[in-house]
Amino acid sequence: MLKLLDNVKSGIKKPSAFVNAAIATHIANLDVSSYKRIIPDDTFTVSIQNLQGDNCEGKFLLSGCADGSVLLHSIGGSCNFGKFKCKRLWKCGKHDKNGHRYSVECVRWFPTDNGIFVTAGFDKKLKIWDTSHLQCVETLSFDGKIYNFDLSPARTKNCTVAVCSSRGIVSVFELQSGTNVHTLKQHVGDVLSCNWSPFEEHILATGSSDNKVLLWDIRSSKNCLMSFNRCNTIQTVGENPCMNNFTAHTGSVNAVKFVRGGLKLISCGTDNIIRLWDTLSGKNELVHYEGFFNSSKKSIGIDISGETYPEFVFIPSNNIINVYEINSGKLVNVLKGHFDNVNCTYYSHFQHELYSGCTDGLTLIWCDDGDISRCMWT
Amino acid sequence: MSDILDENVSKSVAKIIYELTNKNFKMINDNALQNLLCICGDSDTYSERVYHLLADYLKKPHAEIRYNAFYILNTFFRKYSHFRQLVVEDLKYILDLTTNINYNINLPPPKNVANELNRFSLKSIKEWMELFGFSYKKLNLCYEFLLRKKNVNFEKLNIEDRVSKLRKQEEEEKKKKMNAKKLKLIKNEMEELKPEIENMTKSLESCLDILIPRPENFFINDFIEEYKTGEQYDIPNGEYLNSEINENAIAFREVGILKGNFSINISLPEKKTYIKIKETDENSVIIENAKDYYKLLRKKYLDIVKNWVKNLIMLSDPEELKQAIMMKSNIENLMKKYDNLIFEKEKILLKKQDISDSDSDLEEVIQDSVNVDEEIIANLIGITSETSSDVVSNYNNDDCIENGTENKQINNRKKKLLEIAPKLPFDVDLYHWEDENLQTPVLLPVTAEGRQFWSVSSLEDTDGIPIPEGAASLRTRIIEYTGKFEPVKWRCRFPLSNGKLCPRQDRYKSATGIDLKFPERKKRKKTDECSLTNIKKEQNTVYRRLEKKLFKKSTVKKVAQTLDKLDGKRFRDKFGDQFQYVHETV
Repeated sequence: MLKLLDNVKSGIKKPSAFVNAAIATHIANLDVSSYKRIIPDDTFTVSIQNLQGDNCEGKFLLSGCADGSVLLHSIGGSCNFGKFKCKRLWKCGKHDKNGHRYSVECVRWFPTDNGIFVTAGFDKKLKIWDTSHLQCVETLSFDGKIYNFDLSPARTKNCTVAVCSSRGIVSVFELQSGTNVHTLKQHVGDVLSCNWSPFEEHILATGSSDNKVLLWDIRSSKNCLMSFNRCNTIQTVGENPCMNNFTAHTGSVNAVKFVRGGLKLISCGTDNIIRLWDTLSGKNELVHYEGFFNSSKKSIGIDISGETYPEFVFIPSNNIINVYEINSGKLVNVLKGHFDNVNCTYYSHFQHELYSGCTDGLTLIWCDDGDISRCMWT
Repeated sequence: MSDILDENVSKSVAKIIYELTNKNFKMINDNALQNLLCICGDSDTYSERVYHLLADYLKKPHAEIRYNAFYILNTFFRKYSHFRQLVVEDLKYILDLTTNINYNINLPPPKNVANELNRFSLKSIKEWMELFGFSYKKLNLCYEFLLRKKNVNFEKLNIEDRVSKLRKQEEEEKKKKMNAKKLKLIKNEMEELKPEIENMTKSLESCLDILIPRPENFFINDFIEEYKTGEQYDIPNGEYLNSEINENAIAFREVGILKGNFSINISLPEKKTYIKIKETDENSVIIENAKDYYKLLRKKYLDIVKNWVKNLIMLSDPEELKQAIMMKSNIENLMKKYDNLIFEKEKILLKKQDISDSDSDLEEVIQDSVNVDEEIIANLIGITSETSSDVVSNYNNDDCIENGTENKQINNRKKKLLEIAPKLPFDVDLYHWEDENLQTPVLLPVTAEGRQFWSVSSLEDTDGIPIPEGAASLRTRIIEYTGKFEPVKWRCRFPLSNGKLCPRQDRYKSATGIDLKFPERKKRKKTDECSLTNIKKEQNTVYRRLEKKLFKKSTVKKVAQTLDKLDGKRFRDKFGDQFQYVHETV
């Protein structure tokens, strides 16, 4: 590390190399934080299905629970080091006026702003909330259970939302007007996961229980752009990509995520395999990620470390969380600390902390304690 | 200690662990364990090695092996920090293998050891938590998880099932409801019956007051005569007479204070004091009323009140209980008072009123006294009545006198039995029953001419010829067998080992020619106490063996085939002659 610092000083290496190396060591040393703690309350025994921190300051953490409640915790923000008790700021339970009736499967903050967040769940409803008043502004109903949804981060003007529901339907609508723009009907099984490309505003990837991973350009909603094929057989030109029998996995796909700025796509299936795809050619990159087990019938929340090189991905695997280096598939760290199945992960870029929600209702915060103590020292 | 793994040492470590784990779980050798601890020392590499070996043994499908492995793990955990680190990282894995927290994974047999293992592991996790909870965050998380998510009761060391917990709660609620219902019922009943009972007690009390006036109204005391059977104060003598009396004691005694070592026991004999009340014309109505009230209270209301008290104690309702207890004590006091009374009827008065009744009474009394007199006299004189010549009656009478009236019941039984018993007529043997010097009977010789003529020879032979059996002939009686004799015509005819049939002629069938010697007991093989219990043996039950045979693939196939054949045949028989089915059936 010190050598690298010298190299950066002398101009042999770029300053970003030092940042990357620091983050890499940080991630390799992740462990249960002894400084920070989310106090479990009465919802302790309720499974946490999804969580996300806000994209602006990293001060708030939203979590959706299996009993239909939505929780908002304060997680301190980037300036907070040392001991911190994460208090619950707000809770909207099942019996509250605007609460979800059934399990909340997905929660998302508005990409560019803290003012809005969106929640959806098995009660077939998608709710848009105003953060400042903590009130439900809009409720949209769907035909099927909502497994997952995603807000497009690249689209600055009109944020579009892709909603994955059962019966193979992906509906795309604009958040501003609340109108349904597109309905993507190519999947046969329940659509379990979706993800917008971080840079190309029209590109969407969806994974479904029919084992397929489809890539869409929503400007042409008739056909999908690509259906990923695990065997790497070449697609004949002019053929409808959706009609072929190419499957990405041999089990249902419950997580898809664009990585490396949308150039690659990572997908996890219940066949206990993680695959990395090239989004331009549709090729399977054939990277082997070891030690992954997946028995979830819903979507699992995976997250990436973001704009670092090498990039890391955090994937829940039963009761542990595996940290892989995306390009090489190397298992960098295994996070053991949960005693039940982990449902979701969220990596905060502000504090460089990992948050994980578990079926036993506990949210753990993972960070490098040594790093923090070093910071406190200085 | 060096951190380089020595091959020989690691081999010996593996050997010791193997020996320790493959033993009966109560026979763990602490010496060997200490040895292992010494070998490994504080070296991280060795503790890692030990941990991996133990983790392997924890996976074995035998509860005893797992128990032993966990036992070793526990001792290592308490000693070495690096080992602790390793264990804490894999706590979930260890918990799955040693406790019942995961419903999908059952602990292996034998069951009792599995339960023991569960308890042991939960207990040690609690202890670990107390010892090292500060420095290991994951241990804290584990403890919290067990406590709150899995409902582990660390006091009782068991995992409480949420369903059973709910069920218990439901039952309790049900019980509460039932109790409330019961209480309401009792309250209603009490409200209904309370005035009645109070009235009754009051009237009985007033009746008794009139019959036995209190000291305050002493002037009607003429009717009452008190007979107190003597109250005696028994002072046990000798106790202080025998004990040494020292001077101090005497000194104290002069003052009137007895020393502590003196004790006087006064026992008051509890003899009931009865109050006799003469029934006269004047008070007969009152007495009758009192009797009625008493009967009602005793037979009906006392039981009810007792029931109330019993139920109210169970339901724990203090106010009602107080009332009920008051009522009960009231009634019982009255009962006691009444029980102390004896009502004496004036005989002459009664005689006039009801002749027949009094007559029978008088007769009985007279008879009784006579009977007693007779018996006493008989006992005193010791005369046996010889009125009856019959043996049976004679015997009976004797017995009666000897045993007195107490044995009347036994005598009755005897009578019955004697009625059934066969009876024989009076005969010579009975005639000479108690004749001790019995002379031998003599046969008088009969001469040829008989006794008609006197002759010399006849005069000489007056003694007669003694009977050869002697006196015994007069003491014996021959009773002939009345049943029929059936000769044994059959043989055993059991095929013997020499090829012949068993020739035995037993009236009742014998045991068939088999060697009747009791086979010697096989000596049981001494089971090695140190070895593991055999799980396979436990699993080898009758049911399992049968299952193996019945559900074998070939057997099932055979059965299915035969059933198919039968079906086909039936079908052919039914529809075979119809044209449209021919093709399908054939």
